[in-house]
Amino acid sequence: MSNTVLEVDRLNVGFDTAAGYVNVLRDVSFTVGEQETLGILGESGVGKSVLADTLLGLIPSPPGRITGRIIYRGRDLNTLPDAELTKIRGKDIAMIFQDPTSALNPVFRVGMQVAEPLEIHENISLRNALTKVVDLFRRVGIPAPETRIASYPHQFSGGMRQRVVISMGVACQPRLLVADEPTSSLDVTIQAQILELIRDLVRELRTSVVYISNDLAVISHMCQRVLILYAGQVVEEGPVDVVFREPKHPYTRGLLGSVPRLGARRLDPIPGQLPTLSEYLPGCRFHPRCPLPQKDQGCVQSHPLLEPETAAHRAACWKVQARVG
Amino acid sequence: MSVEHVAAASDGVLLRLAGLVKHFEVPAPLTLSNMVRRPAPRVVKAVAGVNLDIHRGRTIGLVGESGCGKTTIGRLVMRAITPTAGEIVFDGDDVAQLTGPPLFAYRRRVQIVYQDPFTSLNPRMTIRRIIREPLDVHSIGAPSERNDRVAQLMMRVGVNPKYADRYPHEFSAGQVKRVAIARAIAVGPDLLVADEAVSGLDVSVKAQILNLLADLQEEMGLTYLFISHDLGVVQYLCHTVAVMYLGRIVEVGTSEAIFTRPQHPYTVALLHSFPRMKSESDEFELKASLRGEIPSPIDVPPGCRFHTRCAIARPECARDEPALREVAPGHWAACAFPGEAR
Repeated sequence: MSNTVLEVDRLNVGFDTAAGYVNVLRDVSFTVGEQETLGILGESGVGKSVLADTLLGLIPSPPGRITGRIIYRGRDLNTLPDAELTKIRGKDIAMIFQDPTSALNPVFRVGMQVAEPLEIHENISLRNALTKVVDLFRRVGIPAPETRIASYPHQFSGGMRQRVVISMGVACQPRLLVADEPTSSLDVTIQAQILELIRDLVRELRTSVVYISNDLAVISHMCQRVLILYAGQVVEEGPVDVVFREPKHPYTRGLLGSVPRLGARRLDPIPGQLPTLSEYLPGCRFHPRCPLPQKDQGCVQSHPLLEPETAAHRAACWKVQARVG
Repeated sequence: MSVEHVAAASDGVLLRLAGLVKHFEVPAPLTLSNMVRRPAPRVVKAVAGVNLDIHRGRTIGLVGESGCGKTTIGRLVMRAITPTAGEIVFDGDDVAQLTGPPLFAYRRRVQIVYQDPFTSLNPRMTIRRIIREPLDVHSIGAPSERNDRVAQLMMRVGVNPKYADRYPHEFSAGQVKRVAIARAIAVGPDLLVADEAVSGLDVSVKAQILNLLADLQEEMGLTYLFISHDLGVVQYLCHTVAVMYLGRIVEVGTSEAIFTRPQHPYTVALLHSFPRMKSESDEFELKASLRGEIPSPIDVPPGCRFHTRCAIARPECARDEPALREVAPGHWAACAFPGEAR
């Protein structure tokens, strides 16, 4: 792989709540290469959005407790003072949020909102920033950008609003873009437009992307590599085509068996449901639902890591590892 | 049970929509001049002449973008609202304008499962009361036996009856969805309208609910009107698929025909928009083949309502509105140039 843009090393994120400490992410480690799109796949409640927010330093602490390292250009974002982080956030690392309605401030004109990061990070006048915003709007396919910069968010449709949010994300030409389910609230026809736009922009700007989604098909189209999260842990990692063709982890296999296809007689879903994050399971967090016949005390007592460490495609499952070794 | 088997076992139309129309009036926006002149309210043509047959024991999928009128059709079939014009023929009787006791009796035969179970179930009722209520309303079974019936229903949909005294918020989304299904099947309906019933669920939970719906259909001989924008689910579950655009059905056919030999350019564009696993056939490669957004149902384009976004539109398309025509046996499309879009 080419150079690494971001390295996340043994990231643990938890929250102190009234009901006690809740561990959301456990020992999450990954790297994002230059111009690589890494998919983070997981069902709701596995910690995907917490991961996205943590990468951008958006988790308040307390109540959040974050350990581990997030290395960007040799600096650990987790220990960086706020003043330094602010220089990186929105410029080097930017985010496209899930819900364009709540990501935009309803009482400011969209042009002003997209111009803000340009004014701050590129230190240019509002007039010049707005000129750039017009170009950005044109690039992301917003019709009549000269007049639309003066509109308020509610005057846009959902798809157009997401284009505004995307233009804000790419305004400063970030090296890393974190996209947190950017199309989950859109119609499929609009989703196809937005996915195409993101793919084109990523290619144009040569930016790296962390693409978060619960949609296997979207991940298969958008990403080169995928990381599969289950209950706050990475259970499998590898090149997208390999992982989806030959999944190793029983959870990944269950997910693929759950996707409806034409001709499939019957779906083969994973039994049971996701554990809540406060249910602390010491062993493999998937073991209560695991369909593998040879589960044993090891699965119940100690939690597996991604193995083999150097392989491109690896899974965190004692049984898979035993079979290989 | 195979698709052919179901067809043979249950020939006959359970529900026929004929020339169904629903208009909604919306007041003109409040402006100074409007306050003086009081313009007539604008009319949203949510459903603009729909003809559709739904066969007993089968599943028909109704697909289309938001705002195409598919939910309105579901509400019309439920008779939650009354059509502006047209017929809703259920089991031989037109129920379009029913009121009073006959409408009440009709509703026992048609039930609905909504997308969001947390808003469609009363948060202040226990699961027992939620599932029992339709039994009480329609006086089904002896009152003393209804709680047992509730327990049976809960067991059938996969919710442990020992949780009957809990409230909806104490359950996960998948479990509450099961409760909503139990409530819907409690009265033993013939037709179940599923309005985005599995949308928003996680993949693994969605698969469990789809299996449950398939099992219930087989056991109870249910007919499903499955309203969804999730083409993957529709492809998997439905025998017949109807594609809606701006209040009209633009294509209808067997699931197999619609997904492999689409004739209407809108259907083709929808198939291209829907992301499939990349390893699968690339016949409908993911691409944004539909530009722009769905026009307002207040100002429906003249001629073919799709011509403003159509890849193969010709000048005459802006003039003449094409009717649904049979392009192959059992496969209908409303396009002047069917089969041309790819």
